Order: sequence, then structure tokens, then C-alpha cells
Amino acid sequence: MSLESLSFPALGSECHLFLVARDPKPLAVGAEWVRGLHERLTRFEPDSELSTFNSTAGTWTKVSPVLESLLREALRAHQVSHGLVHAGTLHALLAAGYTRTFSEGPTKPALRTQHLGPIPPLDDMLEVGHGHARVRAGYGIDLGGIAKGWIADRLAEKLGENSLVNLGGDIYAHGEGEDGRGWPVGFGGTTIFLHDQGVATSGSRSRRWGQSLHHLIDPRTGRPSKTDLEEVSVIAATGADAEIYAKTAFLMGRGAAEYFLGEHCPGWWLYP
Amino acid sequence: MPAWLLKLAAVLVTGLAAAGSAGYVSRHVKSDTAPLHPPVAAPATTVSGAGGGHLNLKPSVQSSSDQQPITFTSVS
Repeated sequence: MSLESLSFPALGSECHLFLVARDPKPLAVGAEWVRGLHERLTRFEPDSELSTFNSTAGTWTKVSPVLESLLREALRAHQVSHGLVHAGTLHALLAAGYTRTFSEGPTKPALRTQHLGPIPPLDDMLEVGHGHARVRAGYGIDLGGIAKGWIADRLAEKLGENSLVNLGGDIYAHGEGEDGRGWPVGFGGTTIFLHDQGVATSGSRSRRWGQSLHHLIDPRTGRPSKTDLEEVSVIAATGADAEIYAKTAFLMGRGAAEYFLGEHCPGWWLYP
Repeated sequence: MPAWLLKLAAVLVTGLAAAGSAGYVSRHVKSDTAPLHPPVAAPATTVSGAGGGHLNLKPSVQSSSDQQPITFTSVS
């Protein structure tokens, strides 16, 4: 048994897969699975399944099992975060100027304020049935805030009993790592050992494109959030939960974040 | 049964109960350091990082500043 690894770009980020096994082949299969999900779930390609779904806002639309699962996950994230992690912020992201992928360079600063304001609760604008779903007319779904942790959890299960998936900083570690102590992961300036746990980071220090313009929309205002935090990293039971808790804490600000994370997470890093 | 015998028995029972209680109390003196409530889960330890951030790890999280990580979490 040896530690095998594979790095590749996908989901708008750099991805890293690790596997303790005799055969590294599952890594390539896993990378291909992630690329396939990227093509299906990106909002930057007009013919992706997500873009097609958004283009039919107001009507019931057939969705694949993967998109249906992620839309249900979006509703769960909204509930767990008390409404702060909100996948129905696409119109606000576009109004703020986040109109193209960062791989094409920084987006031109813009803030079309006539489109901005408090965003209705997600469960008022998104309905999900078996094999079909509907988003309210005038709104759209962006899965950038929840998809990577959710995918990391599932990919680690697919790779094998002792694997780690890092999708742009959202991580799930499955098993005990190479030496049985847990998977060593950099976290808040130290190394922690993960065993069947997830970690994620949320913050406004990247994906910025102008004064106070970044990709984390506060649904209470419909604008890029303004908090006293720039970055939050958390440990949780899964990558999906870590991503939700990190984003929630970031949007809450330091005071409420300390209390919220103390209730839900075994460890966290707040900056500054 | 004569009345004086009942009175003597009552005095003896009362005296023995008082002596026993005093002995028990003297052997179980209250500790000034005893906790006032049951122990609760240890809180997270907060450490200020060199970069100005604050790291909080509960005792269930194993960490090491000597071990090199194979990967790290970051904002994306």
C-alpha cells in the first residue's frame, strides 16, 4: 500500500485527491467524475444542466438525480444556516458583477443597485420533487456555495476506505490516513489530523473584483456581505457541513460565529 | 414497663443519634474546592495565530505544529 495522489483543475479551483491503496486507478476515475459534475453544474456555460434549469425559471423542469440531490442539499443548507447559506442568490451575484468565471480574469466592477435588496427565503423560491424542480421566476440557483463539500464527501466514499478529497479547499478525509494517525491537513497555521471528518474555508479574500465586491452574498441585504471577518475555517463531520458552517459563521460575524461554531464544530479558525 | 425506663431509653436514643451525627459530619467535612456543578465538556482552547487569526480546537481534535500537512484548507 502506498500514498497515491492526483491534482487537476475543476469547479473553478485546484483539486487534489489522495488515496492509500495498491492501485491509483480510482483517482483518475474520480477526477473524471468531478469534471463531469463541473460541466453539469456550472452556471458559466449556457448549455449546462444548471443553466438550463435557471433559464426555465417559473416552470417545473426535469432534473437529473445529481441536480435534484444538490437542490435538496441547498434547502438543507438554508435551514441549517438559519437562512444565511442561500443558493438563490444568482441575480444578486450578477447584479454585483460576478458574471464570468475567474479563470477568464477579474470581473469588471459593477453594482446595479436597482436589482439588490433582501432575498426571499429559499424555500419560498425553490420547489423540488422527484425528478423535477422549479425556481421562482426572476430568480436563479448558484451552487457555488455548497457543491464542493457535497461532492468531496461522495467522491471520498467512491475512492476507497482510506482517501482524502480536496476540492478548492473544501475537504473530506475518509479513513485513518497513511500512518493510521489520521490525515494531516493544514488548518489555521497548524496541522490537524482528520478521521472521517470534513474541513472548509469561507472568506472574502479571494474572488474579489472591486471595492467591497466579492462572491459571498448576504441574503439579508442582497449585496456582498460586510462582516468583521475576512476568513473562517471549520472542522465538521462532513465536507458539506463544514462548508455550510464556515459560510454561516462568516456571514454572522465574529460575535455570533464564536457561539454558533462552539455549538456545531470541534474546531475553527477566524481571521482576523 | 416503668415510666423511668422509657425516659432513660429515650434519652439514650437521642444521645446516640446526636453523637452519631456529629461523628459522621466530622468525618465528611465540606471541601472548599469541591465543584458546585457536575463537570462539563472542556471548552475549546483559543490560540492567537501569528497572522492575526484565532484558532480554536476542542480536546477531541489532534494537532501538531511539527507534522507537515499533505494538503490544506483555503478559501476558493
